[in-house]
Amino acid sequence: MKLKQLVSPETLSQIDHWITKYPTTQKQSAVLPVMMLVQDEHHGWLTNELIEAVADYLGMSHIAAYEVVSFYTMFESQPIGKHKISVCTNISCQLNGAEKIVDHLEKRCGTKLGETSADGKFTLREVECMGACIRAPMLEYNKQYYESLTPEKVDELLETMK
Amino acid sequence: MIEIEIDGKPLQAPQGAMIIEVADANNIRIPRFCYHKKLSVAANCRMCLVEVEKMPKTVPACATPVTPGMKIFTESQKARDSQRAVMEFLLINHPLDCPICDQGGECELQDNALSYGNDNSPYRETKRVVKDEDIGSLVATELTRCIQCTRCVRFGQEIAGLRELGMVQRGEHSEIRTFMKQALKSEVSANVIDLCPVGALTSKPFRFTARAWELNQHPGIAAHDAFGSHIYLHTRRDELMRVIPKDNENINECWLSDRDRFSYLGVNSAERLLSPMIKRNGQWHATDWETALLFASKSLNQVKQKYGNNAILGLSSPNTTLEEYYLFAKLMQVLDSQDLTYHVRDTDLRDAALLPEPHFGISIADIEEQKAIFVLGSLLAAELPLMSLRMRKAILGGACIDVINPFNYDFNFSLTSETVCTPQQFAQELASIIKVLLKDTPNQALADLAIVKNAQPKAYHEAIANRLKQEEKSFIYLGALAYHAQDAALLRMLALAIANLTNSQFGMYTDGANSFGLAKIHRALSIPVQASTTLAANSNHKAIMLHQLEPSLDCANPYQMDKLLDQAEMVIALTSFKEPNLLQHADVLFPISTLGETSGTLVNLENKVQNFAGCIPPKGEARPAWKVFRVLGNLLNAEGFDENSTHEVLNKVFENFPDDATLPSLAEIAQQLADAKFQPVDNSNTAHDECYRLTTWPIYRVDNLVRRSDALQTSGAAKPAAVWMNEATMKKFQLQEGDKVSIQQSGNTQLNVYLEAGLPDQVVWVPAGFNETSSLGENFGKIVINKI
Amino acid sequence: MKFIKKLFNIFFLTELLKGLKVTGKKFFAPKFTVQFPEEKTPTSSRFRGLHALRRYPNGEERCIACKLCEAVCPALAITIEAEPREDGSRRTTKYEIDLFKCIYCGFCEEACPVDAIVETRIMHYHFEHRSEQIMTKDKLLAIGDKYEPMIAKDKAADSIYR
Repeated sequence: MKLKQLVSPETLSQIDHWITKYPTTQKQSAVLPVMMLVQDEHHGWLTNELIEAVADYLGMSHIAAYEVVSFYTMFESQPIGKHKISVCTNISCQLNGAEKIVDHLEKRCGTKLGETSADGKFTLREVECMGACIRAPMLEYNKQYYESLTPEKVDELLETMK
Repeated sequence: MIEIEIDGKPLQAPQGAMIIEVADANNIRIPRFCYHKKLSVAANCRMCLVEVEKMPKTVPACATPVTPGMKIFTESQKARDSQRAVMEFLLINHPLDCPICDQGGECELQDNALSYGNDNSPYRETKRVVKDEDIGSLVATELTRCIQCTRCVRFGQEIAGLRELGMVQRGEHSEIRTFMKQALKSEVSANVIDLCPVGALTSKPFRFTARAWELNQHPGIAAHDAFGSHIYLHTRRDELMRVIPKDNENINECWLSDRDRFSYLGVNSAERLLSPMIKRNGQWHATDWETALLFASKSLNQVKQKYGNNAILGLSSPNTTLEEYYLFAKLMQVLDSQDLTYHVRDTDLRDAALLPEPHFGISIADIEEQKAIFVLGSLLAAELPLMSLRMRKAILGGACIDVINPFNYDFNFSLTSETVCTPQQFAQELASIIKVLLKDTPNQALADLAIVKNAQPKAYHEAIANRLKQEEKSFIYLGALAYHAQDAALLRMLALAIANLTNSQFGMYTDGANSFGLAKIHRALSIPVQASTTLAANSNHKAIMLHQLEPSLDCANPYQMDKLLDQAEMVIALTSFKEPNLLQHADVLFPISTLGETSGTLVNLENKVQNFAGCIPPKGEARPAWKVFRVLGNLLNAEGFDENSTHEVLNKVFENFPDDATLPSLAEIAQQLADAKFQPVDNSNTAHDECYRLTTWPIYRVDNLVRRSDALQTSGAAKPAAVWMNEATMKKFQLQEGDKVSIQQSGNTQLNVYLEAGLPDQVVWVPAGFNETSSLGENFGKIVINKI
Repeated sequence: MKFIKKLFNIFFLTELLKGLKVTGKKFFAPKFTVQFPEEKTPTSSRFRGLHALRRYPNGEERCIACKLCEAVCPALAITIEAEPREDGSRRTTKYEIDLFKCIYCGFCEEACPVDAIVETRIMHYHFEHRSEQIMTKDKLLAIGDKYEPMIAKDKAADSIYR
């Protein structure tokens, strides 16, 4: 299916806006923002059909688009839970107790890191450094960074997600 | 040129060359995995690290350009340490399964591990395992062995133009994958087997059957298209085990099409004819050569006595070698017949007087130098897969390419313009371009032609004409659809006129591997050039000799051939395979040798004469065809026919071998085109309830050997026997994809319907070369479709 | 003087007696002759006799058709043909040793990465017909099956030296 049939006209105009930022022969440079827009509109994950449609729209091969999706942790190619929480476990966060945060999250969300809870509510993702080492440990939720985490702060955040 | 020094050896190097290129040119060995001379530099394996004076760290030789006075050390302690460290790193996740790996013995990793590897690894953790993926019948995967050099990915992107493999995930989890587990569809996909430095991608048909060290290597020439790619045939204990490309920068570079690579599988087909056979009272009996040859020669003599001149028809495959065809022609002369042809698929040879042999104006290597290319009626990658790669290079080098095709064919490069029209309109399209050109270079003779007068040029005609004219290196290529079209001769003349007016070069597709050479034999022996359809229509031949030909699958009009064979008293077939239709019609079958079993000479589209030698004995009782013709000549008590080797035959061929024919001048073309016989063959519109049939021989149905290569038949690029049409046509006949329809065109058949959106309305594409379509008539023409 | 000594030796047959002394010694010494076939000499665990193909304890044949034995065989006595088995594994379809060609050098055993082809202690065998000297895969496997305990013991005994 064509991308036009799969996304709303507003999203499509945003996509076109992004494409104009790159040279006309390099349309595929817009793949990251375009994938992001499409993913946001489709329950936070990209079906094969969507990946194909985006690839066709940007004039790149399907596998090249899939490479991008599989490379970045912000893209999902499998169904995910309602809330996706990305926890950094890289060196700075780890030294400042990321493991504790992960353990706490796993307990509270009822799922393992990298998996989705049985009730389909939470998905926990382990990510590499997101550049917020100064206030480690940190997690990212809904495009927001939550820094200097403690189990209590995590609880507070989880409360808001109900 | 600049002065550098590698390992203390002063060298000259071109400015901007990479260290590894200079080292390779001077036989200094630097280990590498990801670097390949035909691919872009990725520098991701780091195996080629070398020490450079005044550089703090070792640098990758493949990605470091040389600078004046650079001092490089490839074997210093520092370089060695780096290379050893990289090797240890690569071996961390590489399985130790060399004994069961097909690459064992010809593996770059194995070789380099011997020089740069340690005998022991301190690594004790678990190794990486990657799930295998089925990527079709040609390439076997063992992805755990992958070292992520990405050569295969870059090949798809840069050379093949069809990116099918990719590196998904990242870091330690990176793996080579296709998108959604597809089979490889490229016509040159199997080149990744050669590119893969480890055993991750290996040949599926060859899997586990032999080891590199037990194979004998024989140079050969691929005999399926007019490129004449250079190959190595690998044999073991008198059996053909595999075919790999032989580097030749002027022809196939280091690539090979899948067709040339896997056709060898047909040699051991179960359908192979192993002994001469004679049909008596409708029953086939195996017999010995003497009986069969005596029977055949006696029957031929009888027909000749009884019916006189031209009662015998000779049809040959266009893959035939010069030697075989020469003796075949001589034999036909002994039998007082002029009716010999290899033009079995093309039907229009009205231009034989002006253009007695096919033409290809530029060398293969020059294709990539062209700046403007105009292609008419071509499924390029399915006709000449390697030419598609060359043209792609030209496009990447900035060339424009304009295409007029009967449907939106998926070229593996982007086109400047693409126009869709039916093959009936091809001539009109060319005439429109001529009309544009005549504005600047008036030529009254051409302008007076009815077809030019009636032409109504559009903007794209002007664009094409201007591009061809402006660019110094411009090339016009007529593809298979133009070569097989009913108006082929007219198209050639018009295209030649355009080439003449724009100072472009002209080149055409031809069938088989030796059309260029066989045309010369016709000229040398003054045998008229006629198409099989014309010969069959003009006379009821009482005896027919078929050479490596399966008329129902190889001929332009199988229905007509069927009728002709039915009425013939004697059908003698020299063939390597028992084909049902041949068994039905023939009276004598001579088993003859095929790929690798005989020596011979082929002429490629550059008019380059290329010899090859046999490397395995023929299967069973099979014999080289030239010997059969020779002995038949002896049995008919004819003069000559005393050659003892193909070499001696070739000497005879060369005694009177004509030079390349010159192209006709513009005046001659104009005069010829004014002739009444050069009117378009069929200009009538398709009736309301009819369709126009378009035919190609799919890439893996072009000759009897390829048709018997099972791996090719099940590969991603193979096409099924079916009928393709666009949505509007489907709607008109109330059809849906997958429906079965009955098709009527002289004969009847039933086929499934497939969607091909790019076809014009009421034009259907029905491929030839299948048993399912062998009851139909002409390859181009009207057909009736009915839903069942 | 020399003449008298020589005369003495000739007259009293001293040379003969010296010889008879050796004869007498050997006559009463213990005997080393082995009464074949009732008695047999001891053989080394490295003895290179009749070949055998071994199996794993689960019954799976060891040979993986790597063809190293074929490559290393100085007498070209081994012929192997292979193809993928139904389960996709690499196996031989033909494994033949021509015992007339074989020089019992043991290189095949040395080359084998999986200890599949071995030379056993068996040395008493004969052929009654021409062509029986070709040891087919079945015959070799049968020998392996029959003498596996012995082969395993010999391999174990030799393993400390490897």
